[in-house]
Amino acid sequence: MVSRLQAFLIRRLLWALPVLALVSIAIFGLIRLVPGDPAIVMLGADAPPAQLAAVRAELGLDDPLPVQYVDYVADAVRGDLGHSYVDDRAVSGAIAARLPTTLFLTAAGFLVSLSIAIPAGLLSATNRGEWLDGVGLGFGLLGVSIPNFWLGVVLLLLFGVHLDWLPVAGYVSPLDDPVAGVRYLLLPGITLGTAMAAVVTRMLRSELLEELRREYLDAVRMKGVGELQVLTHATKNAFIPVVTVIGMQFGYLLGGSIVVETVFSIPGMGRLLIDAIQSRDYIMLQGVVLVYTTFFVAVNIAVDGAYFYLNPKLGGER
Amino acid sequence: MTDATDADGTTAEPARPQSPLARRARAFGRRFRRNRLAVGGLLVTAGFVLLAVLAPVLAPYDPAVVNVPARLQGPSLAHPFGTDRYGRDLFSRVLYGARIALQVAVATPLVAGAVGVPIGLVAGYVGGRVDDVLMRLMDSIFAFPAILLGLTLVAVFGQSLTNIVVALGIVYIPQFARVTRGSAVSVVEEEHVRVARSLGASHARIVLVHVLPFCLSAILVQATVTAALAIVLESSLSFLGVGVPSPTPSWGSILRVGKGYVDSGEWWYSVFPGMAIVVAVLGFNLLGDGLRDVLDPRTDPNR
Amino acid sequence: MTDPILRVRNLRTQFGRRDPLVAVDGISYDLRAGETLGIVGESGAGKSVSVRSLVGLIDEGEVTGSVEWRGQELVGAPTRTLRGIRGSGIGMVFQNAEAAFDPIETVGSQIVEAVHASRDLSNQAARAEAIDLLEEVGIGDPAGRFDDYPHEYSGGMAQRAAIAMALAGEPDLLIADEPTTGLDVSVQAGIVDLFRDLVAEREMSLLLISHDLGVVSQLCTRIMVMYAGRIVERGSRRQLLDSPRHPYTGAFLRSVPDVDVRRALEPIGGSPPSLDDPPSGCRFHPRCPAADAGLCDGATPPTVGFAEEIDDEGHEATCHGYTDAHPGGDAFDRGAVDWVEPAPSEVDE
Repeated sequence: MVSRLQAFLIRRLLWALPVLALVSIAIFGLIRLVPGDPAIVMLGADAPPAQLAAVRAELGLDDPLPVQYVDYVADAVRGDLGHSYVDDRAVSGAIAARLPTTLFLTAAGFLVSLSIAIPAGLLSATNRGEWLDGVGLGFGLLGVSIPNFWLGVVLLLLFGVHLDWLPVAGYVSPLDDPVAGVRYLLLPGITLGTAMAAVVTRMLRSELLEELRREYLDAVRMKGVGELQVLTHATKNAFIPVVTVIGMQFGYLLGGSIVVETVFSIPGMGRLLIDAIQSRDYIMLQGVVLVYTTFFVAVNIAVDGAYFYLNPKLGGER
Repeated sequence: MTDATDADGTTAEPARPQSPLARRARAFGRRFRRNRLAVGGLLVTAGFVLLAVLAPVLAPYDPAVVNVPARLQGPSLAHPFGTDRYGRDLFSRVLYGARIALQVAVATPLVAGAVGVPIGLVAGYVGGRVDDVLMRLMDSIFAFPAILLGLTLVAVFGQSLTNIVVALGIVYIPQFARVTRGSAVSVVEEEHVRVARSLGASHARIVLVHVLPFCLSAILVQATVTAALAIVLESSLSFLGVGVPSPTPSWGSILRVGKGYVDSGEWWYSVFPGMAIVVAVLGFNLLGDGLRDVLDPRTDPNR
Repeated sequence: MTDPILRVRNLRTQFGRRDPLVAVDGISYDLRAGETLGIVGESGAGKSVSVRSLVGLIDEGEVTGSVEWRGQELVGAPTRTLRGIRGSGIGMVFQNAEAAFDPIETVGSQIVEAVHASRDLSNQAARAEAIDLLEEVGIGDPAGRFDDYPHEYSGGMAQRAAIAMALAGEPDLLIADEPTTGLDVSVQAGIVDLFRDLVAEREMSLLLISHDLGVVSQLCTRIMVMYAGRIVERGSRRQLLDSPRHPYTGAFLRSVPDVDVRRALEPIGGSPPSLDDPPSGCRFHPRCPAADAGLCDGATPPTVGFAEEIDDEGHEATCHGYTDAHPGGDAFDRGAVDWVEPAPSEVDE
């Protein structure tokens, strides 16, 4: 027997497939739209004709479009995302090497963001109208107004150069060396997580303020419990819609990671993406965007599943 | 509107215009003035626009003129923001950068709205499967990280200011569509729309005359939000090297070069252009927040 | 006569600083152990606010006056004191499941929370106690129902569960704020019976708020009528139903259906006053058929005590109609008047 949660997740997966298909078709199509011969664009007009022909064959430019697409998908499912002629390497391999780094960075941003947002949102809501609330709101407004790359550079200047507390560039995997890993991920994590923290703080604050007006909290008080317990009830309820926002914000984290990797010279997928764009390596570009999308859709489904699970009214089990 | 006449035949002050639109406009004006966020945002945004428009007049130096002996100088009276690697005055370059930002801030919502609003109207008005399909489509695009989408589109279109604005516009189409659809759906149910339909008004007329005006406030708020986001996105793309091509001084591209001097101590290269971005974006965000407050029917005592 | 367990004197609750809205305008009453007291009135009369003011649940308003629970002053008392009394001394039943229960926790766990707050029991014992409570309020399969969520309960069952939760601390006074409003009539009867049984078995006092006179008259031996934040009449059930003295009470009775007598319903003309700008003098005067211009719209009415043969309770009404200054009329049986106490002189605001 399939549980309600599992059924829900399966349905969401089925929804996700068309999205992935749409995205891959879109990228596929867009790249074919680039004026001129993609092979020449990629390798230059004075590349040896044999190589040009090989690229054209690789891109399947001679086949009808649907065939090309199906071929691509068939390969992709098996883990083969093509071969980049600009760099002369397998796309999948290049991505696989960098994926963990990007994942760690994104996780760092996520952690930082929630570590800031949850206390900030709570404090803001429970001290409504007072200076603490003003600070929270100000942070919220500023957080969405400061571009993350500038924040990163400023943090770099302050903590990396001026104070020399933290490294300015590079990356060490936390798996290899936890302490160093954290040191290298701290500033990037803060940079990445701040904007999301701002959004989540605002959301949590407003949801909590709404929730604190609900009548059932008086019933809780009438049991004779303390205000902390009352707050816990309210926060748990307020958090449910916030979970959705967190999921939405994850998209931001993913996009932001591209930029942050550039600021802090972190060798992740973002750099791969930028390099691919600048060197017109469309096969690589295709693969990287596809991986980003898949990752993103997967997280969205997970967040939806979490929301479903947490909300008993939707039939989740707790 | 006839003038009121007193008993002795002299005309009293002419009656004030009573048209609902005028009344609402004045009520709006009053509420706007009272909302600190909105006023603050308007001031900052207006300042930004002014500076951008008047840059050629205000800039002390020509932003393109190279002056190598003066390169990489810190802030001073002559150069409030310092100089860049070619000796160009950064203050002037930042001022001119505001022009790029302004173009982006104005054009992107226009492009996004030009496509998104009609989609939203159609989805909200027609409803049913059409609504479903359109919104699913919008959601798929909306679900995407803006940078990823922007990057991909620019990669395909190529780098130029026009292409970038179009790319950014595409990124923000779904927001306009959703916001418009949301308002449209609530209006479509109301009496006057049904009455107009039963009187035989054409669909186009109903949508334009009855539905669209009610969506305007939400669209306006969305426009300010999009302006803010577009400035950030464009600077991010320029920072990554995929944005407006040199020598145009986009704030993002100045910062891109500036980052290279972080180690060697030329901090002004990175700080001032970034602050400009923050101020411009803050202005739009404040304005948007304030407008949202002012236009929210729930807080409007007159509704 | 034993001392009352609850003494309310000049309870006043207002909201807002600059132009305060006075929801409860100086009410006073006593409640004795084991008594059942009902407060009736239209929506907006201030009934709910007044009982919430008793236990410190008024968040954004100012409560003045005196509320003594077993000799302990509650108005202005520190939260610790109030916490001690809530649950174990005074329990409250709210209007419906949404108002009583946290939607994302099981009903059972919330009753256990109530048990833990007032009594020192192990987890197992608390759970057993919660199940017993569910059974006591008439919920079938209480052990099974323990793990259900509030939205999985029907309206009537949820209300029973809410009552169980209010009883968890074994309170001496149960306050029920519109407990039957919103329930089907058939379900209402069950809840009313439940209250009756509980009051008898547990020897609790009951303070029942309702705009439903039928429910109140079934459960309460004493009734107070509230209008626009003030108590306009009080007395025993029989006194109020058989010989209402205040014009509002009479009008109220005539506006609700009576099972025994077939007659036309007479709604009360006008609508309840908004409390941010209440009528001067007697608050009911704009809607009162017997209002005397010049008197009723000017001075605050005195309290008039009546000599009744029904019941030993005092019967009072706040009305000008029984004084000599008022032209009187058939509505006012001056002969029954026992004493008149003028209103306290109005403090200049």
